[in-house]
Amino acid sequence: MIEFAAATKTYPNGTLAVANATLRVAAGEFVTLLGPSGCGKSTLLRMAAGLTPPTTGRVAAPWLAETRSKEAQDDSATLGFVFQEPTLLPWANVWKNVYLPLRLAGVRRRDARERVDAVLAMVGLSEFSRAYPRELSGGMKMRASVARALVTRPQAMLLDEPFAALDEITRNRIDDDLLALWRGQRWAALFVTHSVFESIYLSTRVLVMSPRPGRIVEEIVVDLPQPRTPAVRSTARFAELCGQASAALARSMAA
Amino acid sequence: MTNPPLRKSLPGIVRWTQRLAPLLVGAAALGAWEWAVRHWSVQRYVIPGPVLIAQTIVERWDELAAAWVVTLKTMALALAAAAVGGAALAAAFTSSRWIEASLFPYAIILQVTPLVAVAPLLAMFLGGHFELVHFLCAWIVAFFPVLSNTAVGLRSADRAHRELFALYGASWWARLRLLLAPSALPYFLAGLRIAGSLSLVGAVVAEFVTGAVGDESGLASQILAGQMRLDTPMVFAALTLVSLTGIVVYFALGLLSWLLLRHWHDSAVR
Ligand SMILES: Nc1ncnc2c1ncn2[C@@H]1O[C@H](COP(=O)(O)OP(=O)(O)OP(=O)(O)O)[C@@H](O)[C@H]1O
Ligand SMILES: [Mg+2]
Repeated sequence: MIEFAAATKTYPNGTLAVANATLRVAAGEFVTLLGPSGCGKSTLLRMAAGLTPPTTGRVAAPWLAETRSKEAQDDSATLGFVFQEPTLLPWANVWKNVYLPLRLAGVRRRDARERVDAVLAMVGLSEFSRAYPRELSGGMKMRASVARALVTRPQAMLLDEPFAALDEITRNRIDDDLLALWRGQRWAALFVTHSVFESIYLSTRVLVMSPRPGRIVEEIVVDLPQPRTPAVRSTARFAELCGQASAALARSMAA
Repeated sequence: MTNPPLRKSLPGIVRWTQRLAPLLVGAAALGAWEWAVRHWSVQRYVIPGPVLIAQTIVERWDELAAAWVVTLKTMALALAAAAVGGAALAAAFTSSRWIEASLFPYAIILQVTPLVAVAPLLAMFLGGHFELVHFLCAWIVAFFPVLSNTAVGLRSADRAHRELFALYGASWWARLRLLLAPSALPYFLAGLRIAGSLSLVGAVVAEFVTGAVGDESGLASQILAGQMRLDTPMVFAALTLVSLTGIVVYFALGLLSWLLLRHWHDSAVR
């Protein structure tokens, strides 16, 4: 689904943000990028989305121009992106915000109604479809943002520390909801976080990144059973995997 | 903390007195003016009192209303043209840096050249088409604040929102309509509020310069005519209507701004 081959990103000001990244995300996988702040996680995700091209190396995905023609006819429907901030349009209510990707794809309001309502129900925002973003809590805004990414029925979701700004209780709840959505829809997920616990709980695979210039230094396969429930967090295996990830992170920082 | 009821009721009183304060000041000033005029028996052609001015407005309403309509028409047309033209040109700027770079300097030249210097030229070129001259003068001054404000507004769209639109392959038109235009709306409305006052100034100045008479004579022509006839009450009556128009337009545009932004923009949300 997503493939990086020795991709490097140097910003115009000379900052080497990502060095030699090679990774693959297969369909149906939930892969997490775990790394310290400023290590180039967002940059990597932006390259995967085609928002910025790699300086050297190659990034391939169905929605990118070079590979698009072969694998997908409908170019916009394959990718969902959840930004670090909710990035809702403040002048539009929740319903219209979620409708936006469909609107940009030329779907008429009448034809979109069912899908928008369904996806709002999935994230638990049905009652708030007429509310404006400023009337929502931080968690609700993020839910609306997730709904907007899901409304095109994407094959892949890119999530950039979507819940980092939320309190732990809310974040755990939304994580559970996100996992339930993933189990039901099976998009490939590339999820960025700097929380060890979150990365292990959510993913099938964790990629640990080094500080800038970011490179992928270790891979941890998470063999916790599916479907995951909050009870998983108190198992010995969960603690063990978290330990592994923390150790890998510490090693990468020392190196 | 200890007595919330008092603290809650206080702002209400304060707000109301704040709203009434300008009215009280105005009433006091008018009262003093009337008193002074009567006390020193000032001649009506030197300074008329407020009562006489009000009387003049009522008694010579037909004359004044006809002139008022002329000025209002000039102003409304100029404001509408400034709003549409300024917004459209600013939108064109977003499609190409070239358009912006090649046209913006001329908009600035138009803006910095004093209107009283341009108006006679226009009057010369356009001969007897006074209405057109008035319209152009009012438009020239009202146009720039709309253009420059909207241009800044269109560029102020959030970077993350731009990326979101890029991600979904939005067309130039969709981006303009769904992202740039709403982002620019508060700026546009602020510009429009300035343009409202300026279009009135432009219309009045143009009338002064052309000195139009007859069917095309607006409030400024009434002022000029009154001045020449030493009909000072008429001068003040026309002046009163000019000020009133300016105030009403200013608040009407403020209301429009509030109506359009009240759901989302910090400037309008309580
Ligand atoms: N547009 C840009 N121009 C120049 N340098 C940039 C730009 N964007 C990011 N960088 C630099 O690239 C590096 C990686 O940034 P990036 O945003 O990818 O980090 P991150 O891992 O997402 O951090 P965080 O966890 O804090 O979000 C940083 O050192 C940053 O200063
Ligand atoms: Mg980031």
